[in-house]
Amino acid sequence: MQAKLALSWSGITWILDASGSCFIPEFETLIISDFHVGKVQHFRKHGIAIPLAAARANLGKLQWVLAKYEPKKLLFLGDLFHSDVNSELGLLQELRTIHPSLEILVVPGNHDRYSLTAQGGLFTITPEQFHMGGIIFQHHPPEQEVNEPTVHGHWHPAIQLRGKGRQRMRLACFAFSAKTAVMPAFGLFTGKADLPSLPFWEQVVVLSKEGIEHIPPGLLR
Amino acid sequence: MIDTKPLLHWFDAQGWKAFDFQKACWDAVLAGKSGLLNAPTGFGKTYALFLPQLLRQMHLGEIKSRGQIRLLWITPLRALTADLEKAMNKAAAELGLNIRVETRTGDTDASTKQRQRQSLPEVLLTTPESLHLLLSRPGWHDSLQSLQMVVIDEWHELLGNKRGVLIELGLAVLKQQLPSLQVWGISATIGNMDEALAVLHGNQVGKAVLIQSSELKKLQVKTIIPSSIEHFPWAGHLGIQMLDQLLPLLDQARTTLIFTNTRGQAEIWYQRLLERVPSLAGLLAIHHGSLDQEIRAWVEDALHIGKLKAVVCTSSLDLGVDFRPVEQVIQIGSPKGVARFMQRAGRSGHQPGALSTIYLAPTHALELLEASALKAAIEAGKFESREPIMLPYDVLLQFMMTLACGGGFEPDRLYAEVKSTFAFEALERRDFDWCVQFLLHGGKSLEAYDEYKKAGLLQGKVLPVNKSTALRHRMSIGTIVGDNNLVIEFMNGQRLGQIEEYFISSLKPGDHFWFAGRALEFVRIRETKVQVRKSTAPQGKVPSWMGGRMPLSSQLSAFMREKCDMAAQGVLEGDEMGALEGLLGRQAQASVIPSRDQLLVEYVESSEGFHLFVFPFEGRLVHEGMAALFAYRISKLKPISFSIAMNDYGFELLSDQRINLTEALLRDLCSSQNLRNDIMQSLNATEMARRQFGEICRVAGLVFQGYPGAPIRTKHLKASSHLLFDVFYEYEPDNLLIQQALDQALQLQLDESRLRLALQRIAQQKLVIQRLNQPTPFCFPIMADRLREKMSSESLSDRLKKIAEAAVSG
Repeated sequence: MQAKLALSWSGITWILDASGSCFIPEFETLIISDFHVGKVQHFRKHGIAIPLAAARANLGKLQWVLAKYEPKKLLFLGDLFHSDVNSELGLLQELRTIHPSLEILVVPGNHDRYSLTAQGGLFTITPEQFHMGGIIFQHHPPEQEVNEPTVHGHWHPAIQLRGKGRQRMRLACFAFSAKTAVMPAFGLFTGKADLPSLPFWEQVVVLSKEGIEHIPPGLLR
Repeated sequence: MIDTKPLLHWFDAQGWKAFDFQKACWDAVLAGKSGLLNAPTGFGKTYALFLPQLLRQMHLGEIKSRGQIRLLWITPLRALTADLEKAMNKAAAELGLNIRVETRTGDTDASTKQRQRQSLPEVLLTTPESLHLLLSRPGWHDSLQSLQMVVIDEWHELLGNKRGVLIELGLAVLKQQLPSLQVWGISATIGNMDEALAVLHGNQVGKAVLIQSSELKKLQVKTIIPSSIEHFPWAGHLGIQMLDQLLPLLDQARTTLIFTNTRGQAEIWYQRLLERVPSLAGLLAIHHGSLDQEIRAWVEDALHIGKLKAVVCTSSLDLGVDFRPVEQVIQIGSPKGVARFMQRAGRSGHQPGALSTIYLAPTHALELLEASALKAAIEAGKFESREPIMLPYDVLLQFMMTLACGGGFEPDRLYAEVKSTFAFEALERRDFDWCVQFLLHGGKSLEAYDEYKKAGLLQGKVLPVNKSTALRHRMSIGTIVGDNNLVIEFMNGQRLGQIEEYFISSLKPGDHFWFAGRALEFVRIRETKVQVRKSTAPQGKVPSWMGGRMPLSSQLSAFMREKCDMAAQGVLEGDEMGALEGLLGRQAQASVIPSRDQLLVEYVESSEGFHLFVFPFEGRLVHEGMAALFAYRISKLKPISFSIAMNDYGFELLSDQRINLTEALLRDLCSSQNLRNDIMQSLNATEMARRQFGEICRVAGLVFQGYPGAPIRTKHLKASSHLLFDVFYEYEPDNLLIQQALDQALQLQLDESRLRLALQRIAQQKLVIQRLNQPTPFCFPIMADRLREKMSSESLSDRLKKIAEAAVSG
């Protein structure tokens, strides 16, 4: 299995990475959805002992993909933070120090409750619909049919695969329909939800520890 | 010593005669001893232990005795306390002692609880969970200072699960606080009575006495032989075809309990009985664990006053108060264990010396063999053991937090107390310290960015960091973990019970289904509630509940093999075996009936593929492990895929490729070499551990189920236990809770030790390999069972078509 694969959608090339991120060479932009920084800390603050190593691994994963693609822009597709400002923000600030010239954009999501602007200097906050090269990037799925290609997050989509011998796997995925595309959650410890059966998905790409793989079109109903 | 004459007089006045075991208990209690009482139900076990305590309080005098708790009586079931309270109050009043006997459980109203917090009654009836709630209140040391005796009722029900460990731990700290505290257990007969005594008393077992009654329950077991045995099915588990034969039995008794093995089966039987005999309407009821508490209470009351002709029920009525009107019991399908069968039989004739009558109705032909084995096992007095739980770290973590809330604990002292229990005798200080660290820091090490908040150390004591942590903990005390169930209710809010989410997800609004013995129409889901209305549709789905089937116990398995051995020699004893003559004849003709020293292997070629059948007669659980082990070992030799099926008699591996089946290959498959590793590989032990982790998370406080009144406020702290397992497994694989999940998977789910024993036994056996063109009567139930794990009403071919289509689904 491969660590990344390229596909063409809405007229441009998308490099999908096994980490759950996506790089657009044309815009030199790395896109990350539903990072949920601080979720581990949030649980721990309330006396539920999620291993701290998971929080560190979360940031490590981000640093690793940044080093791999060396993007000019980093676009967070909403739910960057899990709840209130917390100490994982400190780790994010370290990231800023390592990549001083990286342009960081944040599309607001439902979990980003506190005023994102309070973090002035660390990143730029975009409108809820962010336009780039004729494509709309937003956190929430569009409520109606769209005319322009739209990429969103929020769902934490996964697809269930059944094999012989009652084997079952539930894998996080990217999914592309004619006009919309959904990104998987990048953050560790974020959970998954089943990919809705509509709209009609033309391409689905699943992630696992071994790598990233297309689901053969014949297996998509 | 105090004279027991007043008690004998009181017995005389009731027209009773005291049994020897009762007198022995009176003497032991008055001598200050601790112990375990083993006597059959309905023989006055309560009076054996309650009366001497009462006598002691009489001697103390009413004035001194009042206002201070003396006796704590713990039962596994809230429903039991009402009857006990009544009986105890009556005895106390008639013996002339004015004391308070009260109940405190989850059902107790707030004002009573408040009053009890001011001053506990002299006798308190409660559950293991409520005991722990008492221990989670600061000041419990003072309010329990006067306690003289603790009685654990139905100890056999608690012994084999984590609730038993709650008892062990609770008793350990009470005994430390009150050195002369007497501890007594009451237990039905199980295979390991001595161990039951040891678990209850921990390191004090040397001073404890075991009192066993010589009274025997008179028991009559009758198997209902199918009237047309030639047409009786070779497979199946519902047993509806026996219905007509059971109807006349209902007429001969005042009230009959009809036990089924699953809740779905109970629903179907209830429905079919009413269809067949409409005049039973109002006289027939249904009772199972998913029904709402109120509905169950109504059924129990109606049973009490003799208003019901029959109740279709499940293990939910295995224990409980005695229903005098119950004169007979019918068991549908094999009970799979001797102890369970005896317990159910004991639900009838609930008076000393009364005859208990139980009928056993088989659901398929080979269950007659089980019935015959069951009778032999009863005659030999072979009861199953209840294996105690060892080193459950999740329960220990919960208990530590309970004590932290109840005024705090000092780690050094607590370590000694915990070590005194049976479950934690082997607990290493290192692991105990890990648990303390887990409470204090949420893991191994302190980190710069961490804000972990649960418990803290103050002047050498571990205490909760704030009120909300303590409150959250109190809300989640206990080890009974509910499944992910939805409440089912009428539009007006009247509750019917609980149903599994996955069943409802298969329904569309307007669909009809049966629940609580009623036809219902699914309206909608509101939050965690399923709203329904009454339906007049004659047909509907019946929910199935996960978990369902019990495996054949090792005791019964052994007797099954004996019965087979006799049949192999042509000896068919009893009605059951006689009725099987035709079927066994066909088996012998087509293949063989395995004798004691043979393992039967049948290799059948059909249009479906190549079926390998193996018949160890070891019970479903062992077969599940063995089948996976065989499949894994064969697949190491060449690429192949299997469909696996099993029942209590044997298992089947089906593949589309021929295997070169030789004796040498079979010997390799049964080998004990590399067993642990091969089991881990073949059964996907990580996946099994992931399933175990759900319960562990809830007990250890990693998943919070929410306040009854305010579910929304805690939603932000919910994470699925699968997600938690993955995070822990990856980032803290040496976490004791992960280790516990792996151990539980191997011990509880797979029963690794029994699998090992079975393989050792097989190593001594001759292998009999039969190559056949047709399945034998032994194969048949396994083949039919094959896809039933998630069986719906669809036909087999439809289902297979769907699986092919559903290779990927979103």
